[in-house]
Amino acid sequence: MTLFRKLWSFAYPGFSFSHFHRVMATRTLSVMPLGNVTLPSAISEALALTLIAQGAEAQIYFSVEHPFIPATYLTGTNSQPSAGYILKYRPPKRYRHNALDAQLTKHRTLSEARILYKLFLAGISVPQLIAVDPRQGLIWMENIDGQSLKSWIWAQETEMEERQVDEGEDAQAQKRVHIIKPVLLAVGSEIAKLHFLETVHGDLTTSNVLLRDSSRVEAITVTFSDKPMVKDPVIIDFGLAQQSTLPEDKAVDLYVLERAFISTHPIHSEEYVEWVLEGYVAGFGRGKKTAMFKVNEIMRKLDAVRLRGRKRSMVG
Amino acid sequence: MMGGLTLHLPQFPHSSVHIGLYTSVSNAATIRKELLAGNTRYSYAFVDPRGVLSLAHVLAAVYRALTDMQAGTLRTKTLSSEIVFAFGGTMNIAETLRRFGINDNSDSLLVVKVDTDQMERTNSVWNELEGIIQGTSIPVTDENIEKLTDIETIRKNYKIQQGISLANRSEVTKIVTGAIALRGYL
Ligand SMILES: Nc1ncnc2c1ncn2[C@@H]1O[C@H](COP(=O)(O)OP(=O)(O)OP(=O)(O)O)[C@@H](O)[C@H]1O
Ligand SMILES: [Mg+2]
Repeated sequence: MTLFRKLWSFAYPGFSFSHFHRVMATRTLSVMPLGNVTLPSAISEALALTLIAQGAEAQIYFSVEHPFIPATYLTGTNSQPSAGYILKYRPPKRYRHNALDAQLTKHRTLSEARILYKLFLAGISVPQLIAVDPRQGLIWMENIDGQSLKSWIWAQETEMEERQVDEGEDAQAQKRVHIIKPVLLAVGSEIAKLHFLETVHGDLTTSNVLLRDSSRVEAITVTFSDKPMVKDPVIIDFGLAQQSTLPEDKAVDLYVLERAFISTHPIHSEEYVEWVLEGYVAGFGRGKKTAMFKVNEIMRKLDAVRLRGRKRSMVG
Repeated sequence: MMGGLTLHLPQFPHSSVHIGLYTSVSNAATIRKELLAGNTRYSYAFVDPRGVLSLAHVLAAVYRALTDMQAGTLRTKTLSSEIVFAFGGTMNIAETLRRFGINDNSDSLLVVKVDTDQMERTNSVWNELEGIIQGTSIPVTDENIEKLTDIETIRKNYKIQQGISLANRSEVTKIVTGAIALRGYL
């Protein structure tokens, strides 16, 4: 069902903003594969928007400006300097029946906005919802300044490989434990919080987890230790998210993430998945007894889902 | 001295948003009576600042009203009343206007007027308001808005659970921004 979406996200791997200004030019997409799908003119005329990602059904634009707070007043309301804003746009599709299309767009947009807000209220690390216009398929949210989990791991691995000659295998394995493990534990724990609220993501890939450069209290407290700065994982893209009380649906979320690790970081994927699951189990309901029961059930289902996946791939 | 503020929302550069803040208001009941009678001179959004957190909170409501107007889905008769309604909390118009709008006992007021037709009317707005409101105009700043907020009113109006702290104003502004964006859609 989501194969088409998957292909798209592989074709356009995670775009992050950590070096936004430097590489913006190379990252800006000029393709408009669906014909006349540009933003409503009232918005594109008013704001300087940059198309930074094109998914299967949505376009992602970056804006320096907030849609309704003039720059001069932003400093008063946000304690941190603004990282800009994201406009997620689901344009009308030509090949779908018009009335049906409008309904679908409205439904998906609203569903994503509602879930974003609900998770934000629950204290889960997601972009802040700023505005939504379901009629036009628009969601405004906070921009998360940082790389996707996928490109961050790639960057770490590349850096380690470059030093391999001097350092050797053991030193590298240690480095992974030191640098990558804490981040993946945090990712697992964030997913656990999401699932604990009976919400499943529906498209949990390593591009849909962004790593915000942590600028909060934790960052200060680790300054004096030899620990690396902890990255703050933020989950994005709730277009396919749903409420579900079923352990099976949560297991499928985890399985999709596992597959993403296997296809994008094949060499150490086993280790990575193990760390994510370690963080997941530890973070699920923070050790409450009923939660332990639930999380065990999810792990059992994950085994079953893996087995099914393997059988399916053997059949072809 | 006039403390009123005129600004433009980035997404609506052609609309001028005028915001005034008044304390020691002594004629709220009269203003309300004229409003209810439909006196066109009173076509402003008269908001009780006890339910207002920050300038960003006000702008979220103005933005919601402007986008609904653009889409042709205003729920109330005028853009001014729609701004009060846009503060949200409930889909019930009368209830929302009562919660966020001017009351007979309001002793301070936050007033909003939006000109959507690019006519520069800034001065006439402040002059007109001076004639309408018996009170003291103070600068529209977050500091001044904060002093007038009743945080428990915010909690009640937006049904914010007791478990969620209201200590950090910019965090609470995020919560009400989402509530305003999703009003009627939840
Ligand atoms: N809030 C955000 N902050 C920073 N970058 C973002 C944000 N939202 C999206 N992006 C970037 O845009 C890319 C695509 O966004 P997203 O995953 O939400 O859309 P999508 O996958 O195209 O949507 P869908 O396939 O559900 O229609 C992300 O991988 C990320 O790089
Ligand atoms: Mg995505």
